[in-house]
Amino acid sequence: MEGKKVVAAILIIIPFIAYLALPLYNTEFPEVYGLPFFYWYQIIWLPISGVLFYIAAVLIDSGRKKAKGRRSSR
Amino acid sequence: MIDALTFLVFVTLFIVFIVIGFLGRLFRKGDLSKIEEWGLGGRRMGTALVWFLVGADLFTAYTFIAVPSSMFAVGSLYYFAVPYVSITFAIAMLTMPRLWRYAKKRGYVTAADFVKDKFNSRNLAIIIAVTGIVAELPYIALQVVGMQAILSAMLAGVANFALVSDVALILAFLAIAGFTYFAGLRGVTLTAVFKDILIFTTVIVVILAVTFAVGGFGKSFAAVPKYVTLPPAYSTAYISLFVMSAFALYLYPHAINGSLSAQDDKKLRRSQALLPIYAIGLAFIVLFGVMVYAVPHAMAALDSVPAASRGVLVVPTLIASTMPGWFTGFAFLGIFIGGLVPAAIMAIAVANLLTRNIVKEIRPKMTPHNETRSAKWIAVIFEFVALGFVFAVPATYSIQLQLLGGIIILQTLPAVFIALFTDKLNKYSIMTGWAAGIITGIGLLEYVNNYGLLTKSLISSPFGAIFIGAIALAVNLLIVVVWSAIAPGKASKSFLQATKNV
Repeated sequence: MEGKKVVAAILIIIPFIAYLALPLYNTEFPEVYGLPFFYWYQIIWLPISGVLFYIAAVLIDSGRKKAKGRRSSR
Repeated sequence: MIDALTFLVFVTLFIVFIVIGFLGRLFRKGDLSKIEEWGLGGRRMGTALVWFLVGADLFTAYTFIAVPSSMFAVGSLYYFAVPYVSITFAIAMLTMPRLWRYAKKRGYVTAADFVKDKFNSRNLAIIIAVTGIVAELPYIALQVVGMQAILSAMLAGVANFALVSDVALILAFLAIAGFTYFAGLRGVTLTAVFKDILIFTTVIVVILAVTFAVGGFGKSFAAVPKYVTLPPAYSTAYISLFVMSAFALYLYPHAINGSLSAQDDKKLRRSQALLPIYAIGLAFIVLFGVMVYAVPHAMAALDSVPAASRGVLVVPTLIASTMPGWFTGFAFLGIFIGGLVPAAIMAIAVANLLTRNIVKEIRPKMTPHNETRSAKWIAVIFEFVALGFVFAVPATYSIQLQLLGGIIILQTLPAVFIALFTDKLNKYSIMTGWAAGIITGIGLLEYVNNYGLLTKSLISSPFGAIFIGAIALAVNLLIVVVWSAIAPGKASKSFLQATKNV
């Protein structure tokens, strides 16, 4: 259960780091269809965030279920 | 293009919208004289519905109108809306399911209910409730401002324009007040789904049509080369704005109200986790503010209006000058009800707070039936107060109050978020931290605006310009953490007993 929590925490932190690394993405190139890197980098991270958060949510809830089961069987 | 067909499509879809709102009453039927049924939809919203309900607050008329107009006028700083709508949902998925479990177990309808129970403090609960209500009011008023922008784009050139626009707004509010009263959160949720179908279609069609018509974004950015990246001097401002906005969103009563209406904590967590995907549309809406530079007749139309009202017309003008009339009607209605639906959600959230945490404290013997009746009427009254507010005072004041609202709502973070995870907080430290945060926030806001109109929310610091909300929250947290470390508080016994296995 602890392992799952750690993995979930890492998955949740990844998008924070991606967005906090502002100097790394605050550039014009490479452009996509005329859209500077600054803009499309941040758009791309939206679906990635959603997927990572979702996996983290499943991990957190499966970890919780077991912990709860253990608690009530005691 | 605005033509008769535009009006026809707009009015027809508006009628469909009203019908859906009233039919909401029949959806997953419940006894609407109970506040949990009326104000939380009976806590029976599944993953998809919570997704739409909470997501509805992202695509409001105000975001649709104001964020692109700031992007249009100021530039890349306002793109902070994009990282904000990613990480705010990480915060939501970590906090809201836990609040939901406590709420289910202890029958809370509002965050202030939780605060009252956990700290066994009526006063602290009232502080939290009042802060939420004060922060929410300008938010509702700004929805009306967004709706006015749509009406003024659509009715330009019509005789007695101002009168027609006001009458249209009053009619729209009568409709929404009707189904807020009769169908509660159920009606609002169903209309939120309808609204999002319209808005998503609009975003996708306009983005594709305009980018292909002008051949990519290159031409837009060539017209405003300084928008290509973020000026490095704004780095701290950008980060503080998106981080603080992310923490603020789920302290607003409407976001908490939507979360508590979920069917179970897992569905809630999953729906929140997926919301960044929903926000992709928002990222493109913000870009409308740059795309318009590549559309010559849209720019010509904008040049013909006074600079002060140009901002709010960016998106309506872009749509009207690139799309056929019938599609403009479709898109305009999407944005128009994009103001009504969140306004109704916000009014319900405010009504729940005012009834449960203020009126009921004054009149503790109120029956559950009267409690719900009071909440229904407060919601309706609030909708009209917000509308009257916009008629009475210029839009710039609503925007100023919204700026202020964002800073003060952050000061409820220790009582609502941190208290979910620890029993050690001292309630007096929370009250003191709250007061210090509010004084710091308002004081600095007045200072940077030279005690005049509130237009700026950034202050210069050794790290560059920074959002005032971040400083105010830091002062607040410092007091709460140090004080509670020296003199820890105790959570109420009945709360601890009841939530041991939650």
